Amino acid sequence: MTKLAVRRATRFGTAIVAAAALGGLAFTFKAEAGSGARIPVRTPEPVRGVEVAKLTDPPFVPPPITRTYATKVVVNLDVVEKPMRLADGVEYNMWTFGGTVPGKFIRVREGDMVELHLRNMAGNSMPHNIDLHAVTGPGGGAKVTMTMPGSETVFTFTALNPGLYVYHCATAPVPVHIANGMYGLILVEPKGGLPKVDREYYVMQSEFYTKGKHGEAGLQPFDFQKGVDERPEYVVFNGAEGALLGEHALRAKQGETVRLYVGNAGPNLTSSFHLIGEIFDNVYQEGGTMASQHNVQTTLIPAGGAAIVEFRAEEPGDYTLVDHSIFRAFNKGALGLLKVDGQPNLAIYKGQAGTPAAE
Amino acid sequence: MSRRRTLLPLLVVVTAPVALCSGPGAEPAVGSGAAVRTAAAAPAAVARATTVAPTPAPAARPEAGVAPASRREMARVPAGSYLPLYAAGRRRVPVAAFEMDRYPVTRAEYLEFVRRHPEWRRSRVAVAGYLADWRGDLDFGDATDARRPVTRVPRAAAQAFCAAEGKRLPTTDEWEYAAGAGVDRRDAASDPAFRQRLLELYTRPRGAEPAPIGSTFRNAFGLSDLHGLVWEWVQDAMPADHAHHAGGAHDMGCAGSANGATDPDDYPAFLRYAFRAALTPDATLPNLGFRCAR
Repeated sequence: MTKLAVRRATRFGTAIVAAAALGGLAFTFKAEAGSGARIPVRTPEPVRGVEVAKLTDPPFVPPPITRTYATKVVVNLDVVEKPMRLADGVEYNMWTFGGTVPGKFIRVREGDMVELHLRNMAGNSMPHNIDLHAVTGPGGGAKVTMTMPGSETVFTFTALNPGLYVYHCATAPVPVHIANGMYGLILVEPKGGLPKVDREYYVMQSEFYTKGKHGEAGLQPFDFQKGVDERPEYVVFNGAEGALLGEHALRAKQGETVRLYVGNAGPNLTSSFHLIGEIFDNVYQEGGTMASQHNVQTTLIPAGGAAIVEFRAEEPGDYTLVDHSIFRAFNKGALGLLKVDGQPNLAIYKGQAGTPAAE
Repeated sequence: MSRRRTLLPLLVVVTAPVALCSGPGAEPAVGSGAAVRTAAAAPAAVARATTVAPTPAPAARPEAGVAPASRREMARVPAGSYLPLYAAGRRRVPVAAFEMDRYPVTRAEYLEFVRRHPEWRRSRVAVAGYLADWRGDLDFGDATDARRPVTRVPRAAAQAFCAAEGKRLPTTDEWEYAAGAGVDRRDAASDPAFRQRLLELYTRPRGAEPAPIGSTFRNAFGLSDLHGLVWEWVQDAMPADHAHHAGGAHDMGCAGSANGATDPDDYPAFLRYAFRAALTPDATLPNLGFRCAR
């Protein structure tokens, strides 16, 4: 290392120490055999036992982890390619993790050793792999999980950092694999868990670049030029128009606390995530582990990123999830619904004729 | 517990090479806790698939007065050049004139081959999944399956078939050059409409069985079904065989695969190269067939 580099190392090092202290991170030194150098790495805690992760389809989330120790968690994820509904009368040949778009929700605990079994089903056309943003290591697992149809790949990582993370397929050309539906969320719960809430849901925004215009019926292929131009025909929550509407609306009861794990798969757009008629009491910005902001109307969620939002459902009625980049909601499908059941509270909301919102 | 702090992030900045997913040549299975299992076969079978020399072509044994090769039309592909997805200096690669089967090899044709070469019957070949959809050694199923491309054959079997006809598998250069032809023009590889058409063929839902030959399109060289029917074996599919063809040092498993590509817009090529990069010689996939060249 040059003298200059050493000086810079010292200066930058100070900043990093401060940042690490703020973040509550602790690194330990581990001697590298023979070299005399000391390489700082985090030493995972010992794992006890084995369990198979219970994965859920959107919009549901596996229950909180009550374990107080790290374990080995087996995650079985099947890649399935199949035509699925994108909108009424519109189908798209989705490439999925687990048969749904977004893929299965994975929930593990900080320190867990995750043994991920990626099975590419024999009926599929393409090789696939997985890059989990929760992974510390090259490619997030992509490099070691390239899997042909009919094969299975096993990959192990320790979930060193808690947080809410996107996972996605990273096989070339990556944009096609993401645009076709290959993404989902993995929650690495911090030790001690997140604060208890009454309800948790899984919502993920993404775009679809169909050859036909929005609403054009039939099986729609991917349109390369629209993808490059970032001109999606569809911007949706949970993989299809209406996936969170009507009988599929999210539900809560008045007085309950609700937590949404919100991901944005992109592949291109940043989401201006907003819940009409509600204010987020807490936002864990960018999916981190700290409730970093309170009383938020709209939170930005980058492509390939996530956020955790929490609120108390205080007034009954219908609450609409939107991307407040509002043409996407009005014209491209970025609409969902949360229905809150309960008694109108006229002290906090009433119309001119005293009409409550709920009826 | 020691709570010493560290300079690690900086050291990474100072010393790390420009790595997109992982450094070139990184061994996936070392130090990453990774293990890879494929659906294939016992080591002995793998060894066979990778080392068996092509069976020498026997003298043509006419059956009903027609040698097998003569029933399988070939098209002559004139000399030319093409631009691979990865090419140092963006240099086009020259390709000498060759002949190529007009269609992928069908199940009926493969049945004739295993009749003549019993060593390639299913029961004799220890490669997992080999002809797994056949009903027996000499029974590929319904008569309607006769014109479907044969699939679930490892590379060595495809090589043996071609050798028995006095042919060979095409090289990746030959295949890619031939496949760059559109319906009306011989070099359509950079035409956006042609690329979009290929993308649609590659990503449409896959049926349980490949469609019969002749169900996609015939290109300007007179070759049919190069795109969207089945993937096809080439001689040098694997990265170890030929660096630029399968992506080589380019990691086809990450966004970094765009780095160094001659044209990042050529999505059909990325799909093909990624498929070949993930292939092993003993792959017996239901959507992987072959055709021969000479």
